[in-house]
Amino acid sequence: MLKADHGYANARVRAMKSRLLDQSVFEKMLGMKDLSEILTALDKTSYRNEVHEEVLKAGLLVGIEEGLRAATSADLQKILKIIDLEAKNLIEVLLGRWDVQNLKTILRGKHIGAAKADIISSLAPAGCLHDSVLQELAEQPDIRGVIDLMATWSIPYSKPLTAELGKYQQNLALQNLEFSLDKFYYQNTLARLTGRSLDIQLVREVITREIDLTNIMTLLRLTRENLAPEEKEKYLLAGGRRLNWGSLVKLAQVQDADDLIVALEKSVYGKVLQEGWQLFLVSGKFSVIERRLENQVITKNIALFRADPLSIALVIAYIWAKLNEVVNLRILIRGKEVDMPAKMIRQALVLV
Amino acid sequence: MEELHSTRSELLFRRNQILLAEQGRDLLKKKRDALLMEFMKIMDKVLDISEKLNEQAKASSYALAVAKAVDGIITLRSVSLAVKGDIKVDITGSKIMGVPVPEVTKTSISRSLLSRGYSIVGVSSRIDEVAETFEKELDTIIEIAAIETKLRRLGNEIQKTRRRVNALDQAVLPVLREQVQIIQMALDERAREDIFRLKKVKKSLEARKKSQLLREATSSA
Repeated sequence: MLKADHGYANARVRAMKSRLLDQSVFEKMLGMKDLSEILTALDKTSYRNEVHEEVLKAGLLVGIEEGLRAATSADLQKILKIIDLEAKNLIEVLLGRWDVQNLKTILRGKHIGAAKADIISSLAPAGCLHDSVLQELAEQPDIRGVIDLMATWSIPYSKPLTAELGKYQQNLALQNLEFSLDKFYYQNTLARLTGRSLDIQLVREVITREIDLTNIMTLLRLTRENLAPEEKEKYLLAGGRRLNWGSLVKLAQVQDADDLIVALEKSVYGKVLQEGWQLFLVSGKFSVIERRLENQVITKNIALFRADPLSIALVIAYIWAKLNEVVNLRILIRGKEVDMPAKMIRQALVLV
Repeated sequence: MEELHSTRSELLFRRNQILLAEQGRDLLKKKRDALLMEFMKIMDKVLDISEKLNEQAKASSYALAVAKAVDGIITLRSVSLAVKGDIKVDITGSKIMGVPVPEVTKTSISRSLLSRGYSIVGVSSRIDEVAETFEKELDTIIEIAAIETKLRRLGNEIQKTRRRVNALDQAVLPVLREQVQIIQMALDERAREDIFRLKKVKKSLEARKKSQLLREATSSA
């Protein structure tokens, strides 16, 4: 396999990794009574400055969240600056999901006739599409206008949307437009990730693992909908890491959730699904299974810290570790805010 | 103040009024008791539903907190833009012991996964659960709103009935009884005066008769 040298970037990322919080910090925070105690604990972390600045502006809860977001955004920007162009392109592929989400937000807003300000306030400050592009799209009077403008500006996502527009105008089913975007994002991303370099293979691994997780959760959720197998297939994504199209088609024929767990027993996800299923039997929520699967995906992606030290693996692992850390902190503060029992908070955390 | 005529017919009229007021009071007491029974029955239901609502509110706030933390507020806001729907509620009326109460019939607000409007790919099951728990909570809120309105109406009617019973017991009946007593006393007094007057007339007639007899006796002698 071809290998690019990311020595300098990896050295910087290793230094940044040393500032990630370890499990004991989360254990301590779990025992804290309220947000002010968590704020004090955050004083000893790398989030200190951003969090304090935002808390002064927006109050405790929103301030801490904004501070975490600002610190993460600064970290990601720093990484994009220190990595070379090839690695940057690959990382941007991973960030492309935010473009899909932002486009969906605009389509959803236009679907219900939301005000432009509401749409813009719901856009994520990430992804490759520039803010001005998104704002101009949000200015359009309706979904057709948005898609037409995207086509005029040759934004690749206009292709699947243009193909689905006719059907949308007939049945006003937004989910078909949204699904065409999701499908296109994964197909397009995988098509871009061809090549023999280790870096490309690593990013491909991350994306294909995500496709597996999405497909498993889609199949599980659809067991509650009593759909025919061929109907279920419409919601599945091709290109998974461990579950190819053939096995997905077979799994789509399974009608019950417990049978689906049994059918996936021998797959690489079998053990985690079994653990999740035990939790599901208590809570009746599919989200506990999803969180277990996410836990596995996050753990695998963070384990890339131990992969080839000269590849982009460290950068990918760091991004996942950082995003997971922020999510864990958010779970803690949101959980404390609504007096969620510590057991439930712990169940939602992914401590790697 | 009402003018009181101390007459026998007035006395009879007042006595009839007392009888009527007592009958009315007894009827109102029965109505109050029946309403109270109905009230307690609904009260038990309201307590059950409000307990259910508390549990649902807790579950939905936990689900929302986790979704906000893991999926992010922006994702939630975005998905909420896709979810559009009307809540159809039919309100008709019925009567409990003559008290008009609303009857609310609604179709369930809970929707299936595919009818919420967003693509399930790219939206986590956590967000499904937020939608699901809030839909259930909304169902319960509408249910409890209808029953609480019923309860409030019954409560008002019980209070109104209790006030009427109290007014009859403590104001109308004592006044009527007092009036009857006054009329009775006045009539008795008048009867006594009449007897006294008659006695006096009789005495004077007898005295006149006696003097006439005396006069006749002296003239014949």
